[in-house]
Amino acid sequence: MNNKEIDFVGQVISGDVAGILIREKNVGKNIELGDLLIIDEDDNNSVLLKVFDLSFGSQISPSNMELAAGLSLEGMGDEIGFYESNLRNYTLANAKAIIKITKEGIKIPKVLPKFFSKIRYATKEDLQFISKPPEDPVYLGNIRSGSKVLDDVPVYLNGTDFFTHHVLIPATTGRGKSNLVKTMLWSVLKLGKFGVLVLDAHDEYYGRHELGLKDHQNAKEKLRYYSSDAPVGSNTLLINIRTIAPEHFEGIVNFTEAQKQAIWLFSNTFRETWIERIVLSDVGEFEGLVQDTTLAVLQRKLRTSLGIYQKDGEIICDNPVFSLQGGESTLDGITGHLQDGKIVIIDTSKLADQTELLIGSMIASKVFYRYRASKGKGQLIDNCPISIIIEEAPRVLSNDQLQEAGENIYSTIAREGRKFKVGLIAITQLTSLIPKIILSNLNTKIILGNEMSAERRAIIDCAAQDLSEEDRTIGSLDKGEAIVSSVFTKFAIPIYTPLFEDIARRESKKDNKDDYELKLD
Amino acid sequence: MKNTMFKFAHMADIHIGAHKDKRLIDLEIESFNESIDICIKEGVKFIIIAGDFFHEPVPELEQVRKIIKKLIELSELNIPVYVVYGSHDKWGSGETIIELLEAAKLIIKIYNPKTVDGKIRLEMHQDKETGVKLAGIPGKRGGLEIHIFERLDREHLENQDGLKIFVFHSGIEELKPDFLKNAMDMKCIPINLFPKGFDYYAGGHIHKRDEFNIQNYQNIIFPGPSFIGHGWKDYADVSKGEKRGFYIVSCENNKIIDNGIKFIEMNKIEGKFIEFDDVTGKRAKQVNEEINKKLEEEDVDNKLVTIRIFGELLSGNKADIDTSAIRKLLTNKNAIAPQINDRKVTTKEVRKIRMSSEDKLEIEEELFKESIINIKPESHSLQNEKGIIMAKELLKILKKSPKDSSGKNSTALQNKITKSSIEILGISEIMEE
Repeated sequence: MNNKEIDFVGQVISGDVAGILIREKNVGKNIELGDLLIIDEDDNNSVLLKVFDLSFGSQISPSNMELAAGLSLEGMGDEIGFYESNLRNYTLANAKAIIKITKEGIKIPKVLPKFFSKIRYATKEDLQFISKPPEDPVYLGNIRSGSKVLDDVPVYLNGTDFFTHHVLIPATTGRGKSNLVKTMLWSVLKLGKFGVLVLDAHDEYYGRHELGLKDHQNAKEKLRYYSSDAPVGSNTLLINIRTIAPEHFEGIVNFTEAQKQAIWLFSNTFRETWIERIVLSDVGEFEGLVQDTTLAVLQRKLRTSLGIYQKDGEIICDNPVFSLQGGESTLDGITGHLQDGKIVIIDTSKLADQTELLIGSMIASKVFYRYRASKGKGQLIDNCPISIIIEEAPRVLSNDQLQEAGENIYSTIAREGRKFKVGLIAITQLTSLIPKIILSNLNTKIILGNEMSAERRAIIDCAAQDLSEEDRTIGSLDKGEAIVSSVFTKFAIPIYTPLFEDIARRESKKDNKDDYELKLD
Repeated sequence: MKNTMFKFAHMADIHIGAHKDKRLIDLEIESFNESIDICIKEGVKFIIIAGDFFHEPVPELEQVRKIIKKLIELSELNIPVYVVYGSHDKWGSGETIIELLEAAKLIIKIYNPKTVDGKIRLEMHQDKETGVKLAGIPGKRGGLEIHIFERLDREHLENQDGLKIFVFHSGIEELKPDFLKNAMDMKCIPINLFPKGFDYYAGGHIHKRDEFNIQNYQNIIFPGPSFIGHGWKDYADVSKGEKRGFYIVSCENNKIIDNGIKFIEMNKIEGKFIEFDDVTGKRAKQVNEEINKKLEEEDVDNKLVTIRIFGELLSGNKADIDTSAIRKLLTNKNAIAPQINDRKVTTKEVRKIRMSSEDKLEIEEELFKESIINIKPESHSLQNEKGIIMAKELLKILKKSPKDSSGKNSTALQNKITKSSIEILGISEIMEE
C-alpha cells in the first residue's frame, strides 16, 4: 500500500511492551479509548493495537500554558492563540500491541513495532480473520473500534467450545445484557444444534407481548416455552412433586444435618411419595426415628419452597407449578428438548426466588446426570451440547452460598460439566462474590459496562487475556458495547451487539401461517 | 334442562381387530359385548368412544359383523354411541368402517368442523334425551391433530352453556404419563389448546387409566384400553394385573355429581407376568433348561402370559434361547397368546449394538431415526419426525399379508396395500399421471 493513499491517524513515538505511545494526527482525527489501530510492517505483516489510555501532549512548557490560560480567562488576551497549534498541542494515545497478523495466521507479538511507525485505523480487511465464521457459529455482535462499529465484521465463536466451556456475563443493569443474550440465542435458533435452558426471571426472552425468540422462523421446531400461565399453544409449567428428589434441594434450601437425615429416611422408605409423607406426618408418628421438631421444620420448609402443606388430612399445593396430578414427564420432556437441540425458556417471573432455583436445579441435575450416564455408555457423541443460563449467578455460585448450603448442581456443572457437554452461562452484577476456582472454569467472559471498580478488578483478574490496562475501558463501555475475552480468541475482542429488535424485525418469519395443509375431515 | 338424572359411559382404545390369537379375538368381542351389557344394565343414556374403536380402518369383517350386532342392540334401545376417530381408525383418506357405521346410523361422529374467520369452529352435538352438548377432535397419525387444536375457536366452545363434554384422542403434554416420558416424538397437545370449562374431558389414546383435575380443566379422564390394547407394553401391563375397563358417569341437574365418576373393571382376562432376570453369566442351554423348569411349575392355564428375559449371556447368541420351545410349552399348558420378550438379552459379542427400547414399535422407530440421520434424505417430507412417521406408517401397511383367510393371494388385499402405501407417500397425483 502506498503511504500517500493511507489515512494515517498517528505515529509511534515511544513506549514499551506494556504500552506504546502514539501521537495523534491532529486534523480530523480523534483516537478513542478502545480504538483498534494498525501498524503496517515491511513484510506485509501488520500489528493490531488497542488504545487503553489517552492524554494531552504539548511542546509548550507547563508554565507558559498556565500563563496563556490565565490571560485568556482574565480577559487580557482575547486574541491570544498558539502559533502552529496543531503542531504544538496534540493528544497522546497509549496502546497495546495485541496481535500480529501474518500470512500464516495471527500470533502474539513478541517484539515492539518499528519506532516511528505510522498508524491507521483497522479496517474490515485487517480483521477478516475474526469475521470468518467457525463451525456452528454463535453470533455475539459486530467488532467495535472505540465507539465505531464495523457492521460488516461480525464476531462469532464456535458453539460447542462456547457453550461447553462455560460463559460469564458480568453486567450491571441497563448495559444490554438481555439484548446480548437474546441476540446470541437468536443465532442459536438458526443452528438448532445446541440445547439452551433459560430460566427467565423477567419473562423477557420469549416475547409474549413483543418481539422475542418466538418470532424466529425456527421457533416452532426449536423453541419451547413453559410458564405457569402459558399463552395458548405453549406449555403450562406443571411438575409432579413425586418427581422431586432430595438431591434437587442440595445447595438451594438450607437443611441441617438432622433434617437431611430425616429427608433421606423418608426418601428411602417411601420412595417417590417422600414429600407427601413428610407433609402428612403427624406429631409422634415417627417417634424414635425423626424428632417432632425436625419434622415440623421440614414441613415448614417444604411449604415455603414448594407451597405444599396439609389441611384436614388433605395435601394442598398452593404453588401453581408443583402438583400432585400431572406433570409426571415434564422434567424428562424438558431434558429431552434440550438434548434435541432446542432452546427451552422457563418463565420464572411469577415464582419465588427459591422455587426458580429449585426448578433450575431439578432440570440441571437431570441434564447433567443423563449426559454423564451417556458418556459412560459411549453415547455422549450423539448428544447436543447443553447450556444453562442462570441469572444472578451468586445466588447459587457465591462463596457464601456454597459454604452455607454446600455444593449444588451448578457448581458441579461449572467444575465437571465440560467433560459431559454441559455448560453454564452465568450472568451476574457481582463477579467478586463467585469463587476464583469457579470463575477460572468459565472460559469465555462477555464483559459489559461496569461502574464498580471492585467488580471490574474481579473481572479483569479472571479474564482469559491480560486486561490489566482495560479497567478504564470497561468502566466506559456504553449500552450494547462489550469485550469478549475467551480462551478461544487470541485477544479480547471489543464488540457491539446490535439491537435485538432490529435483527428480529429483519429476519423474523415472514409468514405466520402454519404450512401444514389441514384437511377438516 | 332435560333429564335431571342420568348416566353416560366413556370408553376408548377398544382396538377391535388388534389380536391374531383366536382366543383373544373371541375374548375381545366378548369383552365389548359385556361392557355394552353393563352400560344397558346401568341405564346409561349414551356411550362415548374416544377413538381407536377399531385397530385399523377396515378390520376383519367377521369381527365387524359381531360389533354391528351389538350396536344394533344399542340403537334399538335408543342409546346413541358418540365417536371420534382415533389414530388407528383412519389413515389417509380411504374409507373406514367408522364411516360405514355412521352411514348406517349406528354411531354418531361428533367432530363437526367448519372454518369461520380462519378458525376451526366445532358445532356441538346435543344429545336429544339429556341435552348434554358434545364436541370432539379426532386423533390423527403422528399427533397431527395438533393443527386442529391450534386453530380451534375455543371461545365459541367455552361460551356454550349446559353440561358439556369434550371428546379427544390425544395425549396432553402436561399430563403425559411417566412411561411416555422418553417418547419425545409423540406429539402431545398443550393443555391450554383445549377449551376451558367443560364438565368432562373424555380422553383416549393414552393406554393408561388416569384422572386429572387441574385449574380450568376439571375431570380429564383417560379410561385406557377397555380390553388389552395392543403391543408389548399393553400385554405386559395386563399380565401384571393392571385392570382394564371403562367409566360410567352419573349426572344430576346438569352437573356431574360428586364421586359420580366410576371406573368399571372388566375382568375378562387373567394374566401372568414371568420375568427371568438372572440369565447373566449363563450359557443359553442352561437358560433354556431353567426357563422350562420354571414354566413347568407355573400355573398359566387360560391366562394371558408375558415373559421377559434379560441379562447378558456368557456365550453364544441370543437366538440360542429357544423361544419357540418356550411358546410351545406355554401353549401346551393352555396359556393365551404367550408373549416373549428377550430383547434385553445381550451377549458379549453383540453388546455394542445399542438399543434402549424393548418395544418392537419403539425399536423400529429408533432404527428409522438413526437411518434418517445417516441417509439425510433431500425431500422435506422424509426428514426428521415427518420422515419417521411416514416410514412407520408405511412399514405397518407393508407388514400386512396380501393373502386372504384361505391363504391365497388376494388381488383386493394387494390393491389395498398398494393404495394405502401411495396415500402415505403422498404420491397419488404422480401415480395418476
